Amino acid sequence: MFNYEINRKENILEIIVEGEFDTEGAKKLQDDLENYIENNILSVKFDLSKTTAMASSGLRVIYYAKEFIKKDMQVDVVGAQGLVMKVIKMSGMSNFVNVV
Amino acid sequence: MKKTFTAENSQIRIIINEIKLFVENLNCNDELLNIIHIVSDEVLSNIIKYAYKNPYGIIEIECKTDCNNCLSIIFIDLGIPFNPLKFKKEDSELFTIGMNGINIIKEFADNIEYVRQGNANRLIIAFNLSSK
Repeated sequence: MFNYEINRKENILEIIVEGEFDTEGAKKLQDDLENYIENNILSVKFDLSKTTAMASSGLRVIYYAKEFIKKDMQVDVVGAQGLVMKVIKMSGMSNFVNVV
Repeated sequence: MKKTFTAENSQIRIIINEIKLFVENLNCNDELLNIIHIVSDEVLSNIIKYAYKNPYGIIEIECKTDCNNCLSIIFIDLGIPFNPLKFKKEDSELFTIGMNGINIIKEFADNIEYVRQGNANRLIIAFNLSSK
């Protein structure tokens, strides 16, 4: 079951993603993130500690945050483990976002 | 299990849930269910995005096991010919969005076969249940 929560603390967005970060879930989250474009956001943190699986569409949302909410913004990915971390590592995404 | 669906985004979760229902009856662990979820998501979103020029085509799904404890999920579409095996698994040094879906399928499936049969693409994704 996919679910997400977006918390804004001043200029920082924290996004908690639960369950399967798949095509349908990624579309919903990306649509929601469009509200934050050019909205004085300085960094985004994706908390994937409750994410059980991630497809390439989930990777695309993280890329979207990095490139479109604000160009070259700091993006941190925290809590990824197991299958989710494996997908992140094989994607090469850790070369341009901070994976903790 | 053999079912036919329309090739549209709103069907992806429905199709995946049908596949997972079949797999759950095989007493597989959660990790395999998650792997099947993301591999199926990649295959289905590729078909929906690229196979058909006009809405809506169809996707036929067949799930079966054999005596070697192997699960096969067969994805059939009547779209333009597309063999994902022709794409080499890319070096992960560079992040390339488009290739990641195919890389994920290749990384997590135990075997992949593609056949162009008449006007149909048949992609057979196999998982060895003994090793999971």
